[in-house]
Amino acid sequence: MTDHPNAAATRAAIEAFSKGDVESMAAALAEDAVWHIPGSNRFSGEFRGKAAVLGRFQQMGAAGLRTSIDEIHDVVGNDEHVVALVKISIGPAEATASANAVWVMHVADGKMLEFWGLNDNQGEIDRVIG
Amino acid sequence: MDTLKELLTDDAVWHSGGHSPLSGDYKGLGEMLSLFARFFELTGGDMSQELHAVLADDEHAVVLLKQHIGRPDGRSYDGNDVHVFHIADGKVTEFWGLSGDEAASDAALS
Repeated sequence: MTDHPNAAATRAAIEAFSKGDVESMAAALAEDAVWHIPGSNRFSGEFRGKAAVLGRFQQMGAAGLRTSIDEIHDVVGNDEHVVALVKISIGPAEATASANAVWVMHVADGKMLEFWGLNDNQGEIDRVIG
Repeated sequence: MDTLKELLTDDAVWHSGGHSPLSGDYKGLGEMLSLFARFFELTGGDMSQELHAVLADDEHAVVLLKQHIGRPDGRSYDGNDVHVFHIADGKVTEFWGLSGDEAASDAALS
């Protein structure tokens, strides 16, 4: 089965992100994108607007925190939603937490409009990020 | 019950997320039914789900839903949860339930 165009575009954006290609990632975001980041760590919360979403990634990098995408397990999409099943490692290099993550996105006009992240190991992620 | 048997492989695994007493892996229909019974005991049946979307490809089905869990003592959880199913030959081999707010879900179920 061929991926839905929204799933294919999202997969490409995630692959770009995993390679540190921020420009391609940024191009996939809507200007009024909203990112809902789970948990209770210093980078959890709601980030409104492309600048705030990208700013969060930059701030995490500046804090010595890295999100590695260890596996893109699958990306499923339809006209409104894309869901990516990914394995991630997150945290400072010396103490990362791994999780099965589900990224749920609302997509409009081929751009990521809203994002919700869910992790199966949120408590540990909160602990390593602080 | 027969419907569940038809939908699941005999060795299907149900991964219940979070860190509550109900979290963990449940293998086979028998263990899953015990989990569902425990959910029912804890909530007194005050559980509901409102479907937001269902997406699928050849290997996975993903359900986006609003989950409500209520406890007789007044605690409750309302969140955007995701259910992920691995499917092979038309049967569910594995299930993961992820909570949109793990800490809140754990608190309501502990």
